Amino acid sequence: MTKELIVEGKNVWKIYESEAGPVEALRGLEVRIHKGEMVAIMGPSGCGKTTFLNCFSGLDDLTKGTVKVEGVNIHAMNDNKKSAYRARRMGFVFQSYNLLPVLSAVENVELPLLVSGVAPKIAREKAMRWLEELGLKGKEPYRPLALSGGQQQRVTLARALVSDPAIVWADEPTGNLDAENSQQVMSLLRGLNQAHNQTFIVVTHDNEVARSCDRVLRMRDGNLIPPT
Amino acid sequence: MPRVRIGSALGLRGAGSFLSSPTGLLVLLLVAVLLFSLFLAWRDPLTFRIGIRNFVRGRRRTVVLLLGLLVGTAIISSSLVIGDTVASLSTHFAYIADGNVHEAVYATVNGSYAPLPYSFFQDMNTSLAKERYVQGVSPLFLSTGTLSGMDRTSGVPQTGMNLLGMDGNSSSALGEFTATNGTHLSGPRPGEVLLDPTAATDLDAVAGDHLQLSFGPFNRIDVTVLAVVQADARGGFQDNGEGNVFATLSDVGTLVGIPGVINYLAVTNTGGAQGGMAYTSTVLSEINSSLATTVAQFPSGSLPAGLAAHNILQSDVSSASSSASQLTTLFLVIGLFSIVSGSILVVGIFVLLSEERKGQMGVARAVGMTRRQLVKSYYFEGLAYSLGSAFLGTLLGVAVAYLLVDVMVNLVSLGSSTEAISQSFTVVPSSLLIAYCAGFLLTLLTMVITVSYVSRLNIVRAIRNLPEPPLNRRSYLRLALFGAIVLAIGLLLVREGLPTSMDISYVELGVSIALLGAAMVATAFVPRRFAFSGAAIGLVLFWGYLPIRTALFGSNHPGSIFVLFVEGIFLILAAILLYLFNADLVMRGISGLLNRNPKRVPVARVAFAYPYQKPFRTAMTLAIFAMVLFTIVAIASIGSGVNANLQEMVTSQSGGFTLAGYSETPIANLSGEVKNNSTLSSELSGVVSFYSAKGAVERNTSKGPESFGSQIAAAPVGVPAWENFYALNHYNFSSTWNHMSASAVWQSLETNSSVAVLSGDYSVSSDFSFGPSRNAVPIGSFLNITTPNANSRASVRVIGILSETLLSVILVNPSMMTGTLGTSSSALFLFTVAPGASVQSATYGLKLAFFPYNLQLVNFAQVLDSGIQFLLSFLDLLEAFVALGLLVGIAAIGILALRAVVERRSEVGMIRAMGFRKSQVLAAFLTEYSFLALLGIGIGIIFGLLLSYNLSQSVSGFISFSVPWTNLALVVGLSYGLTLIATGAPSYQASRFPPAEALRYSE
Repeated sequence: MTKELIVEGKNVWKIYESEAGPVEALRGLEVRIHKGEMVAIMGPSGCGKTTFLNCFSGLDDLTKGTVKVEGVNIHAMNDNKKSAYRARRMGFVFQSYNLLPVLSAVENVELPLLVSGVAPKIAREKAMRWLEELGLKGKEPYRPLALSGGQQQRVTLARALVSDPAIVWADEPTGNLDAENSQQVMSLLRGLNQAHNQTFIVVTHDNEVARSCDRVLRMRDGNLIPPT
Repeated sequence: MPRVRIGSALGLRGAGSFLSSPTGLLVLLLVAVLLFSLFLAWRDPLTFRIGIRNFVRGRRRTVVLLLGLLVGTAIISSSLVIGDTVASLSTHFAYIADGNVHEAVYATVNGSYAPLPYSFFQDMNTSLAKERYVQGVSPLFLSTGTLSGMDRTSGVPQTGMNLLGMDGNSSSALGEFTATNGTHLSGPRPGEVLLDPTAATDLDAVAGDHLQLSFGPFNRIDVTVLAVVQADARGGFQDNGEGNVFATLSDVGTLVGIPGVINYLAVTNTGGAQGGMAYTSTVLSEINSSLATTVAQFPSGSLPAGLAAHNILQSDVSSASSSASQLTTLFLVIGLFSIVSGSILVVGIFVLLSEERKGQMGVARAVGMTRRQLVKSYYFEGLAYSLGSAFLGTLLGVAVAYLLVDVMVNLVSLGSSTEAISQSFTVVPSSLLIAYCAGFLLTLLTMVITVSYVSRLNIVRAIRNLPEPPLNRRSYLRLALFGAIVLAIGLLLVREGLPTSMDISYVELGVSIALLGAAMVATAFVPRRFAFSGAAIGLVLFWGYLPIRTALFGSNHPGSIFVLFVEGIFLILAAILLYLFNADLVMRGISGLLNRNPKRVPVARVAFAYPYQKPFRTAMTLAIFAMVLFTIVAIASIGSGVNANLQEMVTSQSGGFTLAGYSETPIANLSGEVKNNSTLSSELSGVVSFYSAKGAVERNTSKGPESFGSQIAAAPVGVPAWENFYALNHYNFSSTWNHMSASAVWQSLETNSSVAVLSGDYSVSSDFSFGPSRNAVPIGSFLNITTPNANSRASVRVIGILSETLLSVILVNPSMMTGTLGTSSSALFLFTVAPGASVQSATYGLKLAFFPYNLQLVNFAQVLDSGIQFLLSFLDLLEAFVALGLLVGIAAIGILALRAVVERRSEVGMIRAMGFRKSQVLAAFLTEYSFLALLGIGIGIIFGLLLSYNLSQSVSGFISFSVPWTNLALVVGLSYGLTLIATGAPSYQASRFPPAEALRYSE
């Protein structure tokens, strides 16, 4: 059976202007990721992993090339459509959690649903369910800074998954966690990936994380290293 | 445009007096702080370098912070410069009114100058001619408000003018007249007069016109107008707004019927008007010495009693400066709200700065920097900010004051004063010095206190950006202990102030801080929400519900304008406490409302979360906006209340009459003459002639007996209806004896010889420039009254006090007036103009018919209207002045917005990643600032109106409560509009962050 293509990048270039001159962060990438895959993007610092995530998720613009997500060229969308698409179909997990410090855990989790226009009551129920599923029952009213790093990352996961996205983009999701918490988070990601058939694209430099993924794409100097 | 004048000097003489003056002390303090700072920098160059580098890095931020910090100084500076200008203006008018008369010799009888023989002048002149500092002695005849006249050419009569007689040859020391066409004149010649512009306008006279002048009903002369002269120090001499007529002493002698009469010796010092004041005390002693010798040469009784030398110019200039100083105080008190707002902003700026650098501070402490060094590095940075902002603030204050004077000159109708105001804009260097030093020290002190507090950080929490833990039991106990001290201080203020004549502001301040102290103590036993909400409600009730304060302190405890400041501060503090400790309930309410519209929920969720979770910033912004709006709205509402009350005031003050008339000479049958005059009889529907006389009143007070002069009057009974005061008047009583009804009081006055009714001005104490001051006369008092023709003294009880204050009269029973007090002549009248008839025409007709009696007419509506219009113009000016405080609010919210752009960058990246559109990010930011600004504006408006309402209740009859809708709309529009402008650019910038870039950002 042919797997459904969910992310397809062709000749993707990203060039930044810097004081030292142009920096080629992505250099003609060709990428194909299928639905339900859990893919790790690995490589040394400065190889372009985060730029990959930003450009392929539509957070950043491309210099050249095309990126299709679910068959749609997201860079052809205007900003509002891109935002709406992200709200409906994508989830994000970052190393530094990026939770809103002034909102409680449950308010952070329900925010993507509210952005998508879900009724507040339903959004609250779903958010509570996800927090419970991720072992955070009782922590709902706490603000992020009152939670441990592992708990904050699980809130971030709940926020990424609450809107039932097709793709979850994770940038160093275990970067700030100790080994035990890292393992817990990756087990969660893997379990969710298998249970919901969602696509996970995980940027990491941690071999343990990469090992829990279906496939590893290795990058160097803005391009993918062909598999040996 | 106002002309700028720089004050001649620092206003100080010698280093010793400078150093002991307030200015000197402030400068000394400034120098001490700078020397101390240099010493610190020398001892610890590292912290100095860190502080200065922090100051210079980020040019844009430095500029924004300087702008935020300078507002307090600008308010101080503008208040002082306005004071300088008013002082200059007041002294300008004193110089004009006193001419070149530094000292004068005269005696007074019943408020008029007593006649002196011309030979007295000659002897005094001879005696003083040899004195070094006396430039000249001028013999004058001065009579204010007693001259009436008619221009035979224009046919226009005028009464109540000033008559000034002079000898052209002997008054050269007073200077020359300047005609309106620019020519110079030494004085009038026999048969000619000079008119100042007021008299010329009132008589519709020009040079060459023929005038008939009357001094009493039988003394008249015909003269020609030689010229109309400028109202400068010569032509405006003694001018009280009624118009000056200058004639020769020989013509004056003919007019008053005493040839060669003078009544005033004007002494002019050498050195010019201003310079000559330095010799006043020397010249006064020389005059006194000459006076003693001269008086001794005259036969006993040929000179009036009480003949003495008086300090004229120096004394008037000094009292003018004193009045100006009161006005400076008023501006400073009103400006205190903006100064406090500015100080809150300084605190806010340094708290934000330290929050921004929390991580750096933690690292600095971790690598070995002591807390003291941390404070020092901030101190040096703050020193640079304080020096710069105080300088810029002082200059901005001057510009603001200039702008206000310019607005006053161009927008407010001030008649003949416009030119004078325009030329009086004055900046005294010592004021700038005070403003700079005060602004600098205030900013630095606020900054040092703030930084000392925020530098007490936990190193780990600072580095990891962890939240501060909640207060523990020990903290609450400390708070309770501090509260107990505050409570004790509050109660002490109340205990010490209440039984004494201490300003009520301090007593009420005591109650307020006692409430706050009690709340702090209560936190040891009950949740903070209950403790502080209780205190807040207590403060609102205490300040907002007037009967509580009246019940506690009575309505006659002495107070000052400072009470308005205390009231404003505590009402706003109460509102903020109430909000902060119940913000969760407010948020729940808002969420409930917004959940009905799911589209708005995400934006609102983010927008309202920040003010709720950042209580310090919220309180700071609310306080600043509320204080500024409070003052603006209170002033606008008071002005609106005064204006709204105008018609009611005219009714209450006029008693239903249109004109009041006072004649210099009694008019025997005024109503009969009016009846026989076909024009007047059709124009007037009521004419009341009172029996009237100037009387002397004695009264026993708790402080001993006191006596004062007063006009005594009685309305006759048994007269036709259109002359019957008792039937015609609609006067209200402010109080009556034993709660008698108004009709019972009038009936008693008609029939009972032992009662009296007073006009409202007697219900308050009064200071007179001539004669002793008078205390307030309470209802039920006994008065002993005599008049020049009295057969015996009359004793009366005060059974009613009127609301009206313009007539200034004691009304007695008519039989007693004609009997015991021996007065049946009439010099006090009230007129009612018939419906549809012209008041102007009736006034003209009355003046024309009775100008020989010097019948002076007061149009109640016109007097009240012009007084109120001036007050309203002044209130407008105050409103514009306090509106400057809006700059603080705008700066505060602008700085918050700029800070938020930096602080929340990665958060903006995250919400953009999860699907927020750019417009939603912009809306979230603007909703947040709108909420803060509008809440602050709302608090300010509510309490500003409350203050105005309470004021209308406590001074009823003068102000009625009125909501100034137009001003409110303007102020809300302006404040909110400026808020959107100040926050719009940073919010837009935040909404435009590329998400990927924003997510990478960390401070």
